[in-house]
Amino acid sequence: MIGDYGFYVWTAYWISAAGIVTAVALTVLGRMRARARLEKLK
Amino acid sequence: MLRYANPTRFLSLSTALVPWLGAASAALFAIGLYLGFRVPPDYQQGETVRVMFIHVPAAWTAMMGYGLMAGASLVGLVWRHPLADTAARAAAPLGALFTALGLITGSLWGRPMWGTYWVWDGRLTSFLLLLFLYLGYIALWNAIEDETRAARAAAILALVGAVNLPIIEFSVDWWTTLHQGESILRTGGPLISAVYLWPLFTMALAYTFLFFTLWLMRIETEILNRRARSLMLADGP
Repeated sequence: MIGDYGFYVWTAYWISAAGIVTAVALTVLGRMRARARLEKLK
Repeated sequence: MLRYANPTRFLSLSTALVPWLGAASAALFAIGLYLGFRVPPDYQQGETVRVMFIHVPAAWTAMMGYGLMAGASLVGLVWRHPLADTAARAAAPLGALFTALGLITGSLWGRPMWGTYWVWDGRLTSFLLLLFLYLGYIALWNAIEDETRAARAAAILALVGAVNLPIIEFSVDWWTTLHQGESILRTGGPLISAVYLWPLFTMALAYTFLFFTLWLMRIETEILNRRARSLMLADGP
């Protein structure tokens, strides 16, 4: 679909997706770990 | 607003808000991506116009994040409210991420359009400085063991660094830059076609909602970790 400059467009989208997915995963895991740790201590 | 400065009240509000904000962000991303890949190529930029739909929202979110971090730092510094310090600290890694994404996507747009990935002009350099401010803020928090002192030092850095926000904003007016001038949020209306404005604003909203979702979750995590540390201290060695 994207011919000219496709490399630049797709690289920009994939890097953004990777950054966002990593941030979401780390944030969700961090909260789950914090909740589990607190439950254990209670 | 002050009502929710209480950590317990904040947790109940945040727990209720996060699923809605996250769902809204996901829906806006789906709509924004659909719209962004449906628009015709720009007559000058060609297909690279699609990079604008992720570059501009990332840059706006990065600046908004710094504004929120500096605002929370001011509240923490003046009223010594620990939740404000927590909020400021939680915003920093997210802001750094969006700044990095803004820089990388901007470079990937610049190479085919300007013929170079990077140029030391006012806008790009001040935006790179924003990344260093975020990283410096995170490093400062981690370098000082005493949390109260760390929060105070980091808050001062955040407030001093806030002077960079108007520099980023007006750099394209103050200096001759390769980066184009203000073309969207300007008096007299946007210079770009409405065809491109819809995907751009939809993606900007998606990024904003995502930032608030992750920010609230990170504040929650820090509150829970503090409670766990308090319990461990109360139990003794």
